[in-house]
Amino acid sequence: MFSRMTRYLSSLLLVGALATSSPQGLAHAVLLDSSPKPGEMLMQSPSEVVANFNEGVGPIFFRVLDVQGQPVGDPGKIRLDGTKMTLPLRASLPNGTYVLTYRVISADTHPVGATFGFSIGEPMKRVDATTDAGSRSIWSFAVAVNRWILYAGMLWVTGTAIFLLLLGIDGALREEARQTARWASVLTAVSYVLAVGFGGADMQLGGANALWQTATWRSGFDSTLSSSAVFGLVAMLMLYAGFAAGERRRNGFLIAGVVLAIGSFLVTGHAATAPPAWLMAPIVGAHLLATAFWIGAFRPLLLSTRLLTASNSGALLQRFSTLAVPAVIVVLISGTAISLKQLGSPTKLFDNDYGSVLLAKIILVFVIIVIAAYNKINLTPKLIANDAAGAVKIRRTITLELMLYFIVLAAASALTVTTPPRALVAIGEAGAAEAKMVMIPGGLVKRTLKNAAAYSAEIELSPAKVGENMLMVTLKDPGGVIVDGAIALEVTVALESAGISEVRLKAEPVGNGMWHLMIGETLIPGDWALTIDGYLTDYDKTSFATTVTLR
Amino acid sequence: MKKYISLIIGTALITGVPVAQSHNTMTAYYAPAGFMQDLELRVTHGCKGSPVKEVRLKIPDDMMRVSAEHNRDWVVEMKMRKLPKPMPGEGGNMLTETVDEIIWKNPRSNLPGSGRFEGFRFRGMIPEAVGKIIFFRSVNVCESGEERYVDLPRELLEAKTPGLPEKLLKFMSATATPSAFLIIEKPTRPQYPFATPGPKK
Repeated sequence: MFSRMTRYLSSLLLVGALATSSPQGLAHAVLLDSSPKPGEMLMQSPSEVVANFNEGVGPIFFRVLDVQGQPVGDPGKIRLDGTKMTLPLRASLPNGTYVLTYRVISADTHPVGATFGFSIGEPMKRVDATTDAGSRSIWSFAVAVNRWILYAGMLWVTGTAIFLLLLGIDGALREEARQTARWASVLTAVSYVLAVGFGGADMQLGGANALWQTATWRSGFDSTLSSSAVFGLVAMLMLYAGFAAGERRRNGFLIAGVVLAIGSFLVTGHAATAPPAWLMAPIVGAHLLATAFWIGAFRPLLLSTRLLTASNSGALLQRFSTLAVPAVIVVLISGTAISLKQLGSPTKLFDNDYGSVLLAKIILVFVIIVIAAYNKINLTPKLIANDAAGAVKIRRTITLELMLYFIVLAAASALTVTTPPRALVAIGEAGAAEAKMVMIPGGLVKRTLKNAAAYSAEIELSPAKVGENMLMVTLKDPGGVIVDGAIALEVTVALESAGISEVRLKAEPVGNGMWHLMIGETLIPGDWALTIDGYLTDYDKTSFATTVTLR
Repeated sequence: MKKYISLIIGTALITGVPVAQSHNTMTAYYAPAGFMQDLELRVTHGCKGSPVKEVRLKIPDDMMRVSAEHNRDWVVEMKMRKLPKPMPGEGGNMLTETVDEIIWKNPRSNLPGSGRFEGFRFRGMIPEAVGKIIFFRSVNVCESGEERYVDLPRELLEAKTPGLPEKLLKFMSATATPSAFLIIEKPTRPQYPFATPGPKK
């Protein structure tokens, strides 16, 4: 018993590690095109600057700065048109080098930002551009693990429903399968709710107790996660009822539940929302349905080898595999279609994060298919011939298949947080022509500071290197709610070792309670002391202090 | 003790220690408890050399019956706040609100950024709290930028706090923007009726 427990536990740990260690090079919203482009030399001052993303975004800020980091060009209001963000410039800019900087929240709720240089009328002085993934909050891990549980749970519950609908098992076998599925539906429902909370905490860059704060859930509900959760919760309720209901009403509940559960996965995510949606959504739906059928079958089939006579179990396996063959074909065809759409070309499997994770997933699926084929061709006839040894063998191989499937799901959940090459290709082409553009991946210091009055300040310093740094600050009150009405925010930077003391800088509000400041003073390596003074009213100040080591 | 504090702060002023020099302070650091007292906020300079065009002063919570002196150079405006419960005022009428903030603005000419100072006079009832130190937070709005003298000491400071003069001096130099303070002392002389004594207990 003990050794079996440890074996299961270690497999789970391995799968968990795989699910969460996947590379997250870039978060979702990717800049496809911009005007001006990074490093571009314009002949005259632009009347507007434009950034075009691979998906709809919500701007946090978007501005043009001079090389001293001062906003220039008398910008008007940011205009949003689908995926296109436009900032009108009412004043003309003199010849020189400028910096375009933005920070947006993407449709999947990750804050993403970048800064790059361009010039007018003269060659660009070197400006190091930065991009920041912006998604490395302490909640990213929780989001990934929960997504994995959600995938496994949803497919398990839905799959069991499909199995019951198509193969009509009965007796003790049905009761056990229904009971497991009821538990799984409760777990999945919890996971749907947690997805909203964890997602909100991740977006808000929340601290350890973010889940107890209303702001966290509010931003979770504002995202696509909430519609997914609503579909999912109703689906789990239907399926639970279906697994508990008697013969007559069961099928209606199960069918409605299956449809809603699949639907909950189509309202969010890369693959289902890729254009054209009328084509991609049904393909992803078919992929999920066929996968669910496959996963849902594991538990009843395993049970059958224990509860039924070998020959009866063999008969069930036989019936299953007549349906499984078309299901596998659907999985492969839809999977290929989705992969090609997201990759752009098969060669992309090998040269980026998304490709590598997808490749691992494909290889594992083929291993599972080989095992399944072995079960069908070799072991099922033995069972039909009432060979008890065959039952033991097939139990092992099915368990192995199930374990591999969990790893595949881990890879699948990793894929949803990795940017597909369809977006990367576009950005690569835009960037390749600009040889003088130096793209330096941004470092990022992210901290939550608390003071004696229980206020907190979330700060993000990027690239957190010697040179100009961008500081973003969000103030939160003792209840964890973002302070939106602060009247001013001042930052004092000091480097004692170099005798630089008390340079006071004024941050600018960029909406949503966020403050933005370009710090040009951080030119010397050392331990820089940062003091942040937030003025809640004219007379009420809340202060925070921290030290950042810049190299 | 009183002489000691004045001596230290005076010395700091004379020797050019950039302490009291660079802040908004109370012109007098002491006031007797329970007295109607004339007070003055002294603004000694602008914001990094920029002239002052507006001064805002937050009245401490426990200070009542505040009024501002008539001023021919500045437009004086008072913001009121509701009292949690009505209090007896002058002449027996009940007060439901009290002065929260005094604003001096639109001067005939802005107070130069440096080299001149100006006193902003007001009066009010000093709380019956002998030994307590009350803080007057103020804001200078300048032609360019503003300075908020709103910092409070990290620890509770009272007249009886050991080493108070050094601690007050340290407080005034530890940050760039300390609040002005006033030490409430025990009255040593009687208060005469025309000085309008406080409400009957």
